[in-house]
Amino acid sequence: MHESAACWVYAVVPDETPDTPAELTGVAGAPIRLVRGDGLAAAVSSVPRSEVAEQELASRLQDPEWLERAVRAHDQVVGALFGYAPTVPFRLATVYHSDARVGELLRQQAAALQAGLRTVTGRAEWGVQAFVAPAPPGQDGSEPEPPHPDTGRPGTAYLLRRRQQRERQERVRADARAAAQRLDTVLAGMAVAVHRGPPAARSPGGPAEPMVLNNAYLVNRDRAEEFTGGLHQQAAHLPQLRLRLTGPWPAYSFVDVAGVRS
Amino acid sequence: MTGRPGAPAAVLVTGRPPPPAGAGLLPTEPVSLVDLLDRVLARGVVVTGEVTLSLAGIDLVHISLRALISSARPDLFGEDEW
Repeated sequence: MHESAACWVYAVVPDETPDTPAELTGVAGAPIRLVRGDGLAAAVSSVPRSEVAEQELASRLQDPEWLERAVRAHDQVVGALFGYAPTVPFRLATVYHSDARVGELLRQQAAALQAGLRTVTGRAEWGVQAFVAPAPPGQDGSEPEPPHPDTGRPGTAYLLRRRQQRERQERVRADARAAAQRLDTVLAGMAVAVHRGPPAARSPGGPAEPMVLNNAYLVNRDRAEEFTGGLHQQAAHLPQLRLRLTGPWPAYSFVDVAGVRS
Repeated sequence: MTGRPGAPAAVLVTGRPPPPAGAGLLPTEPVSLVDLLDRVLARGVVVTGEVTLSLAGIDLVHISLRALISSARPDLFGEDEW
């Protein structure tokens, strides 16, 4: 290993995991290797020290193009491992000085990492987001209201109409939230764990409607079809929601509880 | 799900009944960058690496989302929303 290279850590897998394919590369286009020890293996690749020196890394993290490339490269490695081994994903930008130091990490955190592997083995994460369904044409509140009986003044009628629109939107959103809760209960019944995230205020490039659910479900592989099929079934009965399913993911959302901290 | 093994896909699930067995899934799309950022930056095992020691306290999600959103959709968020 090059002396001027640091070690970027992608994930931990069991010790007996075979090496990744030679053509799989990570951040900085470097090949992946497994640092093995204590029944575990850490997937790492070499990164030039200049690229990950503290100030340099901090400024690169704020460069959208660099960040996107790094995020995709990191996830590609994690995902490749997930294709054939239980995988405990690491968050972006965990960098060590050398393979030897990574080996020390495995030694010091063996118990927590083993617990993490037990949590993820034979399972995958599924992301479910729910949005308020777009109103059917003619029911989105833009249609003209009949004039209010008590006034012919256009300004007041306008304000009353706006209030009615707002109240209708609030009812629609409350209805959607309640439906999302019922959906969550059904899905949680098919999962071994749930990560309930805050619904994003806006999703860049996503639907314009408000998000009312943003969860991740950890599902045994042999129940994956039941889970996704169950979601489709629920969707048919919940017209007030539009649903977005992503997956299968490596269990990013379920490994922090293993309590690995330095 | 369709796609390469280990590669997540996104499916928009509508109120229509699921396709009959053997038919293809609803059209899939690649996961969005936001889906990736949400996981790769905000989740996963958090260990204070050596080189990144001083970054441990920085909210990576905040930094990155701001950079991403402001570059992709400058009209969406004004300075004062952060």
